[in-house]
Amino acid sequence: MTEPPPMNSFGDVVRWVVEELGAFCPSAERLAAYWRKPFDPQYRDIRYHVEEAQCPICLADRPEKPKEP
Amino acid sequence: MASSAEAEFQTAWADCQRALREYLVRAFPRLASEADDLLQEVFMEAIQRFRAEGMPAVVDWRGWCRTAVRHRAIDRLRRWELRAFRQLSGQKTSSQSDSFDSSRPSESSSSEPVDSSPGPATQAAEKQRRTRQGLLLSEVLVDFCRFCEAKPTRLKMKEAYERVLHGQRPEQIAAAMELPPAEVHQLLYRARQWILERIRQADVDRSVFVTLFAGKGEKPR
Repeated sequence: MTEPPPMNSFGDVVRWVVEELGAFCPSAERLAAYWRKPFDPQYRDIRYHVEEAQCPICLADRPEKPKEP
Repeated sequence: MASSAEAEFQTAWADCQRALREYLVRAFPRLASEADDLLQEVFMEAIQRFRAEGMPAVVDWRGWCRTAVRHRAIDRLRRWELRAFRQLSGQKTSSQSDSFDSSRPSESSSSEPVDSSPGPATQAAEKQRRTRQGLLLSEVLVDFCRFCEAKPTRLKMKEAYERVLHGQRPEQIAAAMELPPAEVHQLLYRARQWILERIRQADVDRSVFVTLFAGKGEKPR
């Protein structure tokens, strides 16, 4: 396993937990609903999580061709 | 001999094993070198559990397998989380904890030598506390997300707090979410209060709470 980045503070650990352990990932049901309707306002938090924060765990779940609004 | 349901699982696993591996490497690139080992572990555990507890009623085996792989991957990464807290416990005393998120005033990380005065018992207790805190932090954040998702009105709080944890300042969040700054401050305040309350509930001897706020001028309530 590739070693995680240096964690010299609690802040470092929290950031790692959020970025690589999926601590802020939406539920599987909401993520699936988001892929079906990515521009639905009720999934705005997921849009941030996936498109801006670039969560690799959720992005790995992205279907081949997301539907347009 | 495998039951028909178990055979069904084995067939599904064989069908999606390549896709599972690709998913695992994309979602958890740090685990790429041990992907095959992890998949084998998930498969063997599933078989053993089915034989011990009976087959679950699963409609979507592909989704079931992916969820199992995801959980196993996160478990492996959590070992590093534990290790990080153990290392921190050797580097700092409880009065030197840093900010929980970047929008709060934070004490700078200390690079001073470790104070060697605490005895072995104190150090052991400190390590245990840090270990528990590491577990608790990741679990509390997941719980927080589920709490927010339970009501649509709470989703803004989730997004605002995630933005904070990614380093955005409240004014940036207000602009990005098109909210009045006062509302963002209120959302962040509520998020922190929820998280602190959850820590307070779960942290029976209050050691995590004390550790988080030691030296910040905030007192446990």
